[in-house]
This record gives sequence, structure tokens and C-alpha cells, in this order.
Amino acid sequence: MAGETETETPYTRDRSESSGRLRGWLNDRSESIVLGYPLAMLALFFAVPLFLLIATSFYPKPSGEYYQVGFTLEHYRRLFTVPLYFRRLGFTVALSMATAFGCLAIGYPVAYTLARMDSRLRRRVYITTIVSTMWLTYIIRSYAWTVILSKNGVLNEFLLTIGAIDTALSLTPGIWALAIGMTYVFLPFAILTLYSSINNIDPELEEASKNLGADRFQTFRNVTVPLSKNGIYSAWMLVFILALGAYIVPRLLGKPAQWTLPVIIGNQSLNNLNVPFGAALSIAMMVVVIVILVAGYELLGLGSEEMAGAGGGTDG
Amino acid sequence: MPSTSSTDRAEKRARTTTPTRRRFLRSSVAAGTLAATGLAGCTSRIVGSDDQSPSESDPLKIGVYGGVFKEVLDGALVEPFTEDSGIPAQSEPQSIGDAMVKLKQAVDAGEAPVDVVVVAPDARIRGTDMGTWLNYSPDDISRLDAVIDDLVAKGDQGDIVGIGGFGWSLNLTTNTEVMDQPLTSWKDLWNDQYASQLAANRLPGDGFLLDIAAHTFDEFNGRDSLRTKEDIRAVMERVTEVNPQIGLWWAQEAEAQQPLREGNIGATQMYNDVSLVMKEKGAPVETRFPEEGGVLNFGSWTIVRTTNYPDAAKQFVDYAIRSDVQTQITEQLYSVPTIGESELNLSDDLYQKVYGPGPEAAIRPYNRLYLEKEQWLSEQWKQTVLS
Repeated sequence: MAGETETETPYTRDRSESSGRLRGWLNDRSESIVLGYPLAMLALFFAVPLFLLIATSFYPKPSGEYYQVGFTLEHYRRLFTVPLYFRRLGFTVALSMATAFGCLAIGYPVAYTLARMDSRLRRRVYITTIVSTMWLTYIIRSYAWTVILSKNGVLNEFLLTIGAIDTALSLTPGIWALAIGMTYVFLPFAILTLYSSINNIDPELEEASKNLGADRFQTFRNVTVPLSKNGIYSAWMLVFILALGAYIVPRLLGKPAQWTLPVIIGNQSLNNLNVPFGAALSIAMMVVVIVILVAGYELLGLGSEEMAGAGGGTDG
Repeated sequence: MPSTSSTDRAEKRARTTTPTRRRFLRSSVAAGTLAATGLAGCTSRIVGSDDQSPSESDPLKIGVYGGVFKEVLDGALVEPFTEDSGIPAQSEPQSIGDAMVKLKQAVDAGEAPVDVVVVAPDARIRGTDMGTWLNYSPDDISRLDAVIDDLVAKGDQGDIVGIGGFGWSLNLTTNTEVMDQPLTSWKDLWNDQYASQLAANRLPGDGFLLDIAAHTFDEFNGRDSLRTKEDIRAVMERVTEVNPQIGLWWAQEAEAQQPLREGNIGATQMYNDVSLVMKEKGAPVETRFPEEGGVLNFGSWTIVRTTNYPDAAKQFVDYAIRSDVQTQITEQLYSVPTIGESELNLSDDLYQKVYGPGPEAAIRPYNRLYLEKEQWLSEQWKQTVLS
């Protein structure tokens, strides 16, 4: 509008100065703010619950009653003196490691094939198929295996039909059913992690290896595998940690002697109302995970600059 | 050939055996689940509310287990109660698992997510020890005399803590297509000719194998053989001998129902009512009260201490032990009634089905044992029997 001029009044000047000060204050503290948010979330959703878990593990729990706020070392004494818990912890770790290795052995060739597949459409179809198995809950997938592996199940019917066995095998519940179920349930996690890693390796490096005279196996062993080492470790560790926490699969597919520590923790917390001892067992399991994680990084030199794949394919 | 109505009934009854039914009964006080998981405002009330009578918007809440079992109790108990008394009441299907933990937390917070709840003996005793239940005068229940004496749980002062609502018998159930003859004695669990063919409840306080062994074998003296740890160890040693025969250890009856129906196991410990429903549904199973007696246990109606409606809750409990209500529940669920036989109007056939040789012949488990020595027992059990 002609003739209309904007006049700076004391009020607008104050506002302008005020917002400028705010911007300055924000600029000065931008780093703290950016870091503060995740730190606050970490404290709220990790540190505080962890502190409560640790505190609860020291609360006394009189027999037949609920736990009370207080202090006792009784739960840790039991943990270290009753052989049952260490045996179960050992079994849980061994089963989880076996599951992780099983998933790697099956998952790596699948992931490699997917990563080197020419047709993007086919690759998407396969990946979607793999991911879709995770849409069903663990309970349904585990129960499906009890049906397949039961005496009257598909597997026994097949083996009887082809004459491989004379009488039906009782596979579930049992250690083989448990191993199959665990591998099946966690395999997609391994495949997806490995796929991402292998897919990031520059195919020209493999091509160069072949041009220099290496055969396919040598190329795979000396180029592909080393460059996907971080991915292999990530996949192994991911499956290992997930398997350590498995509750449903061991309960449905394993015999009581093959129950993992999470089943015992659930049993303590829900059946015996001994939440403090459940907390102590959880902390023991957490310590084991941390030790294995740190050992893996230290021994294998993972996550280092060197391993990041200088000058070429990286596996992220 | 069954008529359409009986087929429907069979279907309906079959669905009552939800996977978690018995397990829920054992710890059916999951009432606090919603309250303690942040939904408290939707379903629970805070003690101290001005309202002293249930209303349509805030009815008396009855904790029962879900599925069609809830439907049966609604039709036979909850809805007739509302019609007769004018007190709005509503059943609340309860979750399982962390039941006692959640209810304890809710009550401690002064909340009453349900007013009345049916619980198995161990949960009732545990709730009593934790102060979860309301204690009230025997004078508040007009039909108390009709209830079988030891099914009225009383506190130290003689006040009532819980009143038996209905019971169940743990029997032996056999797939008759797999086994030549139905199992008839608990000793069959120890018979090595059934290697890996049988199933049993893996929880000591649900399967009661200690009670069973103590009552079955001459070297033991029933409950008296379960008083000290040394004695219990001796009984437990005997129980370990069932292990080679057990191909499946289950915790919830549904885990055993399907394998039994399909013949993956030949026979199992199983609740009489569930087995009768399975048979009615067409499964090739026979349930037998073992020679030494089935293990008889009862669920009790308890009132949550923090209820705002103690009077209405007592009225409900009183109604639940009416003879016509007890008869109807027994007819529809094959459960064991908790009032004297003379008060009931059961056919001889139904009586035989639910009681077998009668309550006097049954093994009554030493429920308190499984609480007083729970931690020790749990560890010993896992290290010996289940190892």
C-alpha cells in the first residue's frame, strides 16, 4: 500500500532483540541440545530401568510372600551356589551360539545370492518372502514346528513313506526340535544383516581378483568374506543376543531340561513371584552378553578403521 | 448321531477349554493387569470414591477366565445375579501369567480393577498372606452352611477369606486308539512299559506328583510324608522314576490336549472336566478317576480388599453358592460343585461323571507346601524330576 511505512516502535524492537537473544542462546547451546535429547532418552528408557533392575535384584523376598524393599545378597548367593542356574546359563549361551552359527551357515549363501542377483524384481520378491516369515508371532511359528515334527507330523509321514525309518520318531519336544525352531525363527535377521553387508561390497573388487587369476572359491575366501567380516560379526551377534532372550521357542519346542535362562526367569517372576531373583538372573545374563560382545570386538578387531575397508568396498 | 443342539453345545463346551483355562485358575487374579499397565483409568476405581453401590456405568466387576467359559458363567451366574438382585455386575476376562504380581501392585496402589475374583488354592493362600483379599464375617453369607466345610477359607480370626466356587479333579486320560486299555492307576505313570508315551504337568503345584506319590506308594504316609525337606526328598526321588515314561511335560492343559487327541502321547494327567469335553467333542479319549483317587482342588471366590462395593461383592458370593446356580454350572462345565450333594439336583449320571467315586476317595493336595517351600521345591524339582 502506497505511503504506508513500517515504523520501528520500542515494542517491535524489544521483540526483535528478544528473539535474537533466544537465537543466540540456542546457537551457543546447539551442541548440548542435540546431544541432550538422545542422552535424556537413553537415561529415561535405559539407565533408569537398568538401575531399577539392579536395585530390585537386592530386594528380599520372603517365602510365600511378595518381595519387599530392602537389601539382601541372598539372590546372588543362590545364583552362585545352586548349580542349576549356572548350568542353565551355560546351556543358554551354548544354544544361542549354535543358533547364531547355524543362521550364519544357512544365511550367508542366501544373502550372497540375493546380493548378486541381477533381477531387482526377483530380489525384492525373495526379500519380501524372507521378511514375511517375521509377520507371524513366535508362538505360531514354534507351534507350526511342533505339528511338523510330531509323531504324526509331515516329516515322520515323509520318512516313513520313503522307508527311511520304520517307526515314527518322537522329535518334539526335544533338542533337535529346539535347534530347528531357533534357527528358523532367527534366520531372517541373519540374512538381512548379511545381505546389507555383502551388497555394499564393490563387485569390481571380486572382478579384479578373478582377473588376477583367482578362482571363484579363492575370490570368495580372500575377498568377499574378509570384506563382509563386520557383517558376519553383526549378524552373528544379533542372532546370538536375540537367541539368548528367546522364551517362547524353548518353552514350546524344548523339554524342561532344555529350557533356557529366560524361561527360568519367567518362571521365577510369574510362578514364584520372585521378581528379585528374576532380576538377579537377568543381570547375570546381561553381564555374559557384554563380556562376549567386548571379547568379540577385541579379539577380532572389529569396527576398526582398518576393517572399514579402506579404498574400496565397505560393508558398513 | 448327536442332534444339532447337542452338537452346538458340544462345540460350545469344547471351546470352553481355552488353552489357559486351568492355568488361569491357578493364578487367576490377573485383575491388576490392566491397572498396572497404564490402563487403570479405564477399568479400575480408586478406593475412596463416593459411590457405594455399583451402577450401570460402574458395575460390580467379577474376575473370571475368558472364552466361552466366561459366556457360561455370564449365563449361569453373573446375569441372573443382576436380574435377581438389581445390582449391575459384569464379568471381566482375566489374563494369565503375571496375575498375582499385577493384582498385588494394583491393591497396594489402592485400586480395585475387579471386585470379586475366582482363584485356585495356591493363589488364594498367597493372596491371604499378602493381604490382597477382604476378610469378612461368616454372618454376611446366608448360605454358608450349604458349603462343604473345608471349602470355606478362613483367616486367623475366623473371618472368611474365600468360599469355594467350583472344583476340578486331576485324573488320568487315555487315547483309546493308541493304548489298549485306559490307565486306571497313578502307578501306571511309573510303569516302564509306557516309556515316552505319557504326559504330566510339569509344575509341582499343579501336577501334584508329590502328593500323588505320597498317597500311592505304601512306603509313604500321605501328607505326613511331605512335612520335612528330608521326607520330601525321598518322595521326590520316587517321582523322578516317572521321567522315562514322560514324553511331554506340560504346564497348560492345551499343551497336552492336541498331542493326546492326535495320539502323539498315549495318556496324560488331565482334568476330568476338560477330558469329558474332549470326549464330547469326538476325541478318542477316556478319563478315569485313578484307583488311588483323582486330585481334587477347588477355586474360591475371593473379594479384593480395595473394592468399593464390599456389600455387593458379598451378595454375589452368596449367590454363587445357590444350589440352582451350582447345579447349572456343573451341568454346563462338568465342574465339581462346592455345596453338599443333598442341596443339589444332579442326575446320577452327571454325579458319577464329575465326582467318580466321590470326594471322600479323592486326594486333597497339600497346597500350602507349594508356597511354604516354593523356592527350594522349585529348584529341587528342576534339578531332579525335570533334569
